This record gives sequence, structure tokens and C-alpha cells, in this order.
Amino acid sequence: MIETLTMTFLVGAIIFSTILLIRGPSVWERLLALNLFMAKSVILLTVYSIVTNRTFLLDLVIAYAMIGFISITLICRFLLRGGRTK
Amino acid sequence: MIASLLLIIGCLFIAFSIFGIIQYRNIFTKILLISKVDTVATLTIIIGLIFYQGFDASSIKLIILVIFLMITNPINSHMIARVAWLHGVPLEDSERTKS
Repeated sequence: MIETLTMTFLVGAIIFSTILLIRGPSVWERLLALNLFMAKSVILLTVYSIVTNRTFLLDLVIAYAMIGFISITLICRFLLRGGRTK
Repeated sequence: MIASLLLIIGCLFIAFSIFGIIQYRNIFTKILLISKVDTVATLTIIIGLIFYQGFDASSIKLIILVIFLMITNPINSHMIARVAWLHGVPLEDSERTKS
């Protein structure tokens, strides 16, 4: 019961952050929305893997969290060196 | 019981984060709000899942995930704020009509 409620709420939050990722007027709001999207999808995959008792998905969750961290780090370094205008 | 309570508290923190990102206009205010509330929501839900399953072999992976997210999620927010500050985004709102 409570896990279904949590997963429904997380799917709603992911849809909202996707709308924010498309709509945002500047680069930084899109980067912030990407951060939100990564965190929410990590939580959703963790809840799914615990509730349906498939614990091999947790390795995938750790790898996905690392990919999110590295992607935001590299996009920030790219923007710090001057972006596309340089 | 404890697991249900922690999951509900985590959902409440996510609702606070959505409310804050609708309410405020400035980018630094959003970063200040997201970097705390989102980290706390993530950690609360994963600790609630540890209580939900009971101590098992997969709890070690969850604890590793908690430690990793507790280190890297504030680093992401700090990096976005630093790049926005070095590019010269103004700290105050130019228009004060809303919020």
C-alpha cells in the first residue's frame, strides 16, 4: 500500500521535473532540473528493486548514480571553460 | 511502522521541494532549497527501505548508496551554483512583481 503510494508520487515528481527540464528558460535551471531528475530516478529504481525483491538491480542503481554525478560534473566543467561560444 | 513513517516523511520532503521550485524565481534561491531538501528526501526514503526489508545482504548495498549520495548530491548543487556565479548571474531579482 505505502510503497505503491510512494512509487506513484515519485513518477509524478519525475514527470514534473521533465516538464521543468524542457521548459526552463536558462541553462542553469535545466541543469538543476537534470539534477532533480537523476535523484528522483535513483530513488524510484531503488524502491522498485526492494519492493519486487529483485536485489540485483541495486548494482545498476549504484552505477546509475555514478553516471549522473559524472555527467553533471562534465557539463559544469564544459560550461566553466566557456561553453559553446569560445 | 517505522518504514511507513519514513517513506511518508520522504514523500513530504519531495512535495516541499516541488513547492519551492514553483514558488521562487531566482536561480540561487532554488539551488539553496533543492540542495538541502532533495538530499534529505533521498536519504530518508533509502533508510526507510532498509527498515522495510529488515537487515539482509542487500542492506550493505543500500548503505553504500546512502554514503555515495550523501557525498555527491551537495557537490552537484555546489558546482551548479559556482558555475552560475562565475558566469555573472545576478543575485537579486530584477523584477519584484511575483514572489
